Amino acid sequence: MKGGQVDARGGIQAGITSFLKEALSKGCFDAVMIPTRVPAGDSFAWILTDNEDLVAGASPLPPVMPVQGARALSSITKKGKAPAKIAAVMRPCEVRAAVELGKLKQVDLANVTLLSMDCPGVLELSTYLSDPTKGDSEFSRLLDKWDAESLRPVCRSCTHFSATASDIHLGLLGAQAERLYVMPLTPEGSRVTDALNISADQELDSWQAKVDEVRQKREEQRRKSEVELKERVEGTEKLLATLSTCIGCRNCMRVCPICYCRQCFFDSDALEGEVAAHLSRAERKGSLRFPLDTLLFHLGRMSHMSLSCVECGTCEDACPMSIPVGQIFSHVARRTQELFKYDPGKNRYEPLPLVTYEQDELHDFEQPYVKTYSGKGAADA
Amino acid sequence: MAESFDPKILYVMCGWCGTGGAETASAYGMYYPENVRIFRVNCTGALSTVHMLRPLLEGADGLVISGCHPGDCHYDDGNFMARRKVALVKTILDSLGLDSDRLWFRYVAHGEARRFVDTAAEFTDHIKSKGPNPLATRSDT
Amino acid sequence: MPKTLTVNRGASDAVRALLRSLIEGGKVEGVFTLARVNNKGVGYALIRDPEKIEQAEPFYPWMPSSGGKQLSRLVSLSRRPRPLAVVLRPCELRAFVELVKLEQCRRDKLVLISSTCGGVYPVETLSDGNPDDRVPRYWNGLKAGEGQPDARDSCRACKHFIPYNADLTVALVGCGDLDEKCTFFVNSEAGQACLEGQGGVWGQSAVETEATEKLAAARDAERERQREELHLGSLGIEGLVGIFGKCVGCRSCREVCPICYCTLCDFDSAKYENEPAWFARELNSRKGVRVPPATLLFQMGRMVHMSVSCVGCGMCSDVCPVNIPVATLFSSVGEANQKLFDYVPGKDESQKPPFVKAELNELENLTV
Repeated sequence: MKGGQVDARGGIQAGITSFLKEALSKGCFDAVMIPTRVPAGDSFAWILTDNEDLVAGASPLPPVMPVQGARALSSITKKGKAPAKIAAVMRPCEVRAAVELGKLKQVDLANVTLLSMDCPGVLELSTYLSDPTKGDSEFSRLLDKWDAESLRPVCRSCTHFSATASDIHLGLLGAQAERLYVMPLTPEGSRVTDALNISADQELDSWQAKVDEVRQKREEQRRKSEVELKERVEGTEKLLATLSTCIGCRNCMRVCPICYCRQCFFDSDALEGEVAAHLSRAERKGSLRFPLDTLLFHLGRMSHMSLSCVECGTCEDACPMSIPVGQIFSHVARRTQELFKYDPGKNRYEPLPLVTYEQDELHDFEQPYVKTYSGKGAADA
Repeated sequence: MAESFDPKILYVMCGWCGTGGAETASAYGMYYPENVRIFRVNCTGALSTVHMLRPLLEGADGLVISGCHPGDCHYDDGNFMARRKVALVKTILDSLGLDSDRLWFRYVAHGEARRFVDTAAEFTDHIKSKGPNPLATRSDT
Repeated sequence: MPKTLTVNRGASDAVRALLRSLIEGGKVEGVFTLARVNNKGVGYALIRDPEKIEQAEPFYPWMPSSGGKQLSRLVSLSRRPRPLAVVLRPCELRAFVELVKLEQCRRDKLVLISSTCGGVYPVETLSDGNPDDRVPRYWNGLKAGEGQPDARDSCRACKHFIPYNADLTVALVGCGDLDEKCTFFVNSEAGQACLEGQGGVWGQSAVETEATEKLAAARDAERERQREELHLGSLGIEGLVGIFGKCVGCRSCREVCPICYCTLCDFDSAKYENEPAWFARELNSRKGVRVPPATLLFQMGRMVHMSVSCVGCGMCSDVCPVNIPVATLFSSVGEANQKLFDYVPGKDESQKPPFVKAELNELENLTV
């Protein structure tokens, strides 16, 4: 990977904001969408701003992810391309979700410069909120050490923590003290680095080595946690025990960047029925659980969004019942994505698996026909 | 499994080919098990994943889907899309340790009466050997 | 004073036995009550099998969702009513009555059973450790007529803990002999019909006792304290931004709210999706704009939509992933609005909700 370097004397966050400030003042873009601390100081929210002071005071890499960046970007560009050139400063999983939403026509990337950075992961939202000061110091330690114990479970085993489908990637790993790597990944990215006179022709070997090292650790962690998760949720009994505390609040769906539907299928009238229908369901089961269709909702949501799931873990953060939704969904998503050899958010031009097909594929899922069936129930038996 | 187990089977058929197979079978007076309920859709490609999941969670012991043979789809590619969706649903079920073998996908053409009755009978026997769907009677789904 | 029937059984057992006899006797087709899910969780259930009545936990001290909301989905307006017995907490029952008045469901053929309520624990505590460990402590508190210090904020501040509109009321608060005895208060003919044929001692007394009055006074004080703690009187825009700054826009407060019945919320509809040009205009008039926008608009808009019917059930605070005290704020605003129209949600079945029917001569001091 080739790139250049910029100054980050005031720390990583300040390095990023001063890079943005300069780009903004040189007219590389007209506004920046970036996380910033809320007035009460206890959390972070996204702002769209063209004010250099607000950019300077923003937190490009906050310790938590209260709102998935792709959702924020979608609220701006859902109805058409951005009114002016916007730089969206996001974590890799947010960039990937934005690319997926682009394919789903919920984000228009035409006037957007995607800017990502190496992401150590984030803390659990509820843990952070119980003591923001402690969370802040823990996160600055994480930015330095890149270990994983205090991160959310999905972040601990995330392997997409670095350069992705963004236009510019900022490398934090392996950089010298008080420096940041800048990698233009697309012509759009090169336009920005050229305007800022950053020569991006350096081979970033130390960054690459460090990224590979972290990725290896994360993969190891992934294998470990996968085994633990299977132990916890696999099979009818365990899965239903895990979902038995689900209260049907739909939080997981509402905060999911991929679940963009204005009206979710599972909240529509599609699944409604007569009292008599409910009574007959209750008759069959002896007792019918309310809210209805908990398992159907989760499996159905998987079938709707798992191919685009970027494993950002926002669902798990938002679950009031501490169900490991993020881990379950990411476990399933890895398998469904593997099925179609699809890596969400990697390539803006690769079509979504369910809008395309190949003639010669998936033959394992076709039930083979034995010439004439002669079992018990056969026609001539 | 006890012989008395009478599985509830939903057979989703494409209105162009699969249903035609069933019609041809009836024209020849061929037999297929009575517990198979046929549900006609305009194209298997139009069947949503939730409609594959719902019977499997809510009462059916098994679900078969039959569309046109590759290349025969009235809408060009509906059966290929259906195959992708079936693969998706089965993978989801598999990855959570749920039974994906209660869902079959097999092509049946308009003239293939034999293939239709064979599929109905074979699947019924297959489900009989598996026993009732445990999810159908659970009260915690 | 209502008639009473006292049976020699613990309260939960007595209610289970009653429900069972109602199903077995064919008086109802099913029972809608809180019940165990998979021996771990708890949720509402429509029970038809008398054997499964064992799983019913009518007074389990958690509220995983508002029973009023769940019931309204079962008996919604377009459907033919069927005889069902229903066990709800007072706030859930009030919510249900509001939904009936808002024409979302109907109460025909339902037998509504409720109890005096000691409050519930926060829903997230259902998933830490074994919730059953808290249950004995809860019942001891009930016997002594005291609330739990770790109950939800909304419950500790609730003054409507004696049910309105129940056909049968089970006395729990301040009943020292809860483990051996259970008293049903009969409030209607339907309630009377349910108890026909049940063994026990008939009598007559009032639900309100010294214990309930004491609890009501304690809760009034707690409510004042909570509102003062939030400085609700002097919030202003800064205060509101302070409280709702961390809102993640998940809308779960609305999703679980029993009064918010719309299939598609106004604030999720296309009219609140902004054109890109809107953002450009905003950037011209202020330094920066929060995205997604309109956090306060949603919160205050929802207040406008539902606060006159807010029953203070506290579900919104319970599910908020960022612990915003939504319920304290909403119930306080709701109470102010309700006072304006002399309206207590879920109390009088014949009184129309304020925004369903306007009076000719009212609110005269509002016109300038």
